[in-house]
Amino acid sequence: MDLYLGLDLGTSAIKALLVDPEGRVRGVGSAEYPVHHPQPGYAEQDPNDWWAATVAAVRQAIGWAPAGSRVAGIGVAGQMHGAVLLGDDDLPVAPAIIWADGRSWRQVAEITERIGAAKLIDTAGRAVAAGFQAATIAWLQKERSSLWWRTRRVLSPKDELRRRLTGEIATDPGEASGTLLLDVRWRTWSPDLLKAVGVEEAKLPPLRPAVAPAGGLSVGSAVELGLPAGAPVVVGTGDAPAGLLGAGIVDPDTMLLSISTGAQVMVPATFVIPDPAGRSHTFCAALEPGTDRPGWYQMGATLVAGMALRWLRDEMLGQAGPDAYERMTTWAGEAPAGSRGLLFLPFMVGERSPHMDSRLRAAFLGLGAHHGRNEVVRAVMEGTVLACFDAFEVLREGGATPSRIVMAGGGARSPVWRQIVADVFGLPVHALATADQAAFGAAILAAAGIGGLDPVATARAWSSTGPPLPPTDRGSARYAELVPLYREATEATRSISHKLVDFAEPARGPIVPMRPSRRG
Amino acid sequence: MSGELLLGVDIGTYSAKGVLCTPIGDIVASATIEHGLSLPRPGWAEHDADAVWWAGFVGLCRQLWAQGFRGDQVAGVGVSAIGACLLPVDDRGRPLRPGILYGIDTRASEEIAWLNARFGEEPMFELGGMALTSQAIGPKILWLRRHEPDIYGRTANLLAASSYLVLRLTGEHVMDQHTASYYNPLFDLRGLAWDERFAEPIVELGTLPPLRWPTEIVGELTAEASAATGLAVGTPVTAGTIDAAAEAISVGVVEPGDMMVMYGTTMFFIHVTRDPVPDARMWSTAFVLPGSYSIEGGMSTTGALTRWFRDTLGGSEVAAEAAGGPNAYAALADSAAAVPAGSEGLVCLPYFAGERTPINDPNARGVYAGLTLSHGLGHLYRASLEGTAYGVRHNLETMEQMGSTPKRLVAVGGGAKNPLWLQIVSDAAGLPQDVPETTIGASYGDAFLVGLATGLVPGLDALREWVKPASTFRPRAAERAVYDAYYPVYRELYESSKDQLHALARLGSAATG
Repeated sequence: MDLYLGLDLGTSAIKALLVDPEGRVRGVGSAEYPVHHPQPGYAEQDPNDWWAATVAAVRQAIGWAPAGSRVAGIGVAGQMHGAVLLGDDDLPVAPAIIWADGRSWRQVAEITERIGAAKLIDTAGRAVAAGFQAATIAWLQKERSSLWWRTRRVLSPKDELRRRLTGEIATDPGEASGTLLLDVRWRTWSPDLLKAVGVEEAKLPPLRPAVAPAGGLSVGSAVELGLPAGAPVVVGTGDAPAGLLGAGIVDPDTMLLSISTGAQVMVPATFVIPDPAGRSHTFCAALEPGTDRPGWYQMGATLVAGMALRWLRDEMLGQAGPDAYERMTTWAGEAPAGSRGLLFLPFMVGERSPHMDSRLRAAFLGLGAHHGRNEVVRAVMEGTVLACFDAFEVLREGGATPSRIVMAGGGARSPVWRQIVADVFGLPVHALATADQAAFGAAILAAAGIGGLDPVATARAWSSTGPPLPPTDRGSARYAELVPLYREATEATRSISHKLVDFAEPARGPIVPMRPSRRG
Repeated sequence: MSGELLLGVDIGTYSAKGVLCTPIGDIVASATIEHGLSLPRPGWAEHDADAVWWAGFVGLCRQLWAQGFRGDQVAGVGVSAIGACLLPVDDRGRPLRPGILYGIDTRASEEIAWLNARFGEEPMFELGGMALTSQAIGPKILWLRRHEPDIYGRTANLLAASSYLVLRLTGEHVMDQHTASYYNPLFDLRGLAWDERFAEPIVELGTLPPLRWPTEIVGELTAEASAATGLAVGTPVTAGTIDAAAEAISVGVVEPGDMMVMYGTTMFFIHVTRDPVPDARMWSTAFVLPGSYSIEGGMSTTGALTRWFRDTLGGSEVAAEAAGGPNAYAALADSAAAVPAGSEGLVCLPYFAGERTPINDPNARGVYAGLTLSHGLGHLYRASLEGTAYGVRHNLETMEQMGSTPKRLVAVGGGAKNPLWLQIVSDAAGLPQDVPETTIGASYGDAFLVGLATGLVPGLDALREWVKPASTFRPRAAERAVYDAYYPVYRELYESSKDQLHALARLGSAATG
């Protein structure tokens, strides 16, 4: 049997999936690696750790595979935005500086000033942020000029992984839009952006479609992985576009809403209208644009979702045990929609979409003696969904008109959370059954690029979702009242938040250090 | 009158307490009885006059006699009871319905609106020195007249709880000036007399009792009362008053500039002044000592907030206490004490049940603002205590704006056993607080007042012997500076979010599940 291997090089672990031509997962493996913080605000990883984990994960996955099967093709996906620096011999000359790295925050303003905010957003699809490859490159030039002088190429993490597999240097538009150096409309490196950052195109990998074959496994890596040398590998793409594909979201009618630590809303798009204020981002998708082929997606991200529930569990309610979340969401289900007039603004670490304000802070408003823990937990869940709805409004202004929602992440496991989403958005919600959708999406790219399958049809056929959960009249009516209140309350507390940040965090850089739980 | 012990009796919202004292303030016996509060409908709060008030008094006497004392040892009786309330009685002094209680009973809001529309807020405020709120009795009389006209028609006299006890003991109809201050808009605060200006639609002034001071003997025990209580016929009885004022006396809050801060289920303030200082944000009353006045105020959720916090968020602490660990409140206080002043950027509006003075907004609601992942339970608990402290500061600031700055604060009540809370209030308000090591409560003040009235206590100076020694919590400079920065944010938070809080309050009362 032919199997396709999908790899997802995440921030804390790599996932490996072996998928058969019917879309059934035949083998799973994963292995972790650390993030290093040599200074506060720095976030680095060692590409050798990535490789060691890749070997372990792939060997685990192969261990599950049925006898007589063979790996017919390999796809890669991974964490976006980061920078791997290669020297003359195409080997890394320094640890990778990943997306979570905040050292380049001064360069954000410099780059924006050089090119102009409006032009930057219209070209790259969003505003630049610390940790994005463009900003990291600018930082290297200013602060580590000799290292930059020795750097012959800059790769994104998953492109470094593929270089390790095959020796080929390439990237794809989906990944490249995460560097903030790509012209998202034309899917080419942008001369204006390259100039603003000060990097020659020769230092960047050539752009190819995500499904394009990009060589075969080298003998050395094949031996380490336990796979046949020459096994073909496709270019692959970043974890966000790969995840969309893996979730089967390949048309503009469907929105992906992921609730994990933070939350994201993503909708495929057939055209490009970046939000002029930079409150969302518009990036290239895994698919090349064409008839029925949305070549882009819009995305909004909120910083706090599951994180707030974990804070409640650990810091407030002191709930322990593997069923703590289930217990808490059951309580939430016992409170009515609207939590009896208790509202939570979830800005515990500031907010991205649509506020782009790191100094917003969270709040509970409307507390009364009639509120118990049921209302408190429900209000937190509702607040994170209201934040997603606010982020989605920007996507709607950019032309998104989805008619259904596929929900992913840990939040999708809670029927209460799914119902809140259905009622707040007024759309039916399907829980995504497919796990590890970025690795799954990478396997789909391999099946398309190597096996000749149609990527859209394959994504639809292979992914699986639960039955639709429709919005309720009662819940929708209540949230229709709550949405404007949420927005007003956000504005009402904005200047309060800023003052309190000044009081409590007077000499802080842009990085929020996370403290371990007080309750342990 | 052969005895020389003083009996003080106080009827509170949930319990009654009696003390027997010597004329130098030594307590020889005390007794307590629990009773219930009836909440027959939303916004209604009632006590049965005989089953709660009178039975409480009689029950306390029996407990005291059971400890080996006799009624004929009592030289005089002083009484106090819950905040100003309303009891209609017939021409033989029999209650016609349960007593309608003080500000926690909000049934007369329509009547308040009607009176404000009919007469204007300003002229009524001019007369009584207070705006009409749920504390005001005038609108409750109007409610009785409109909703229970039969009962109103048979009403011969309107009484408060303390005046009902005096009636049962002596057969006399009286009310003290302090209680009468809450019978607005029927009371002239400057003239200290009933006034007919706004009375016509509300009440026939003749049904209101004559006004006396709590330092006066107003009658002697009847044979009937003697039979019921075991007290001697002829025992003198004072006019009685409201419990909070009697408590103020009991801790020596008697001089102009003295202020009692009561840390109870709600926070209550009595600030003694030389002259009436009316302000629509606060309550201005005649005080219990002739010739002095008081500014009073109250917050809605203080002790109730700490209780909500423990019950809702303190699950682990409660479980630990149940398993033999430390008291849950103490554990919460310990975690709050570990957090610096300002709770690292967290501010709480403590308006969980709306707020009384000085914002007088029943539809305000609670807020925690400035939350981050770094905040733990101790931060939220400390922020809650700080929120109440900012509320105290807001009340003090209002009094200052009225030109009447308190000079000495005395803290009493269950919450005053929490040193962290006291220190936070002193730091945030910038004022020292004296905290008596033990407080007996209003009944001790009642005993002192009847001592004054009978002459067994020579004068106010005797309070020096009566009042227990106190420790003092002083503001600390570093913490005070932090609170000076946070306090304006607390004020701004309410002003900027009150529209949303009102809307959430509406949503909260509309949602039924």
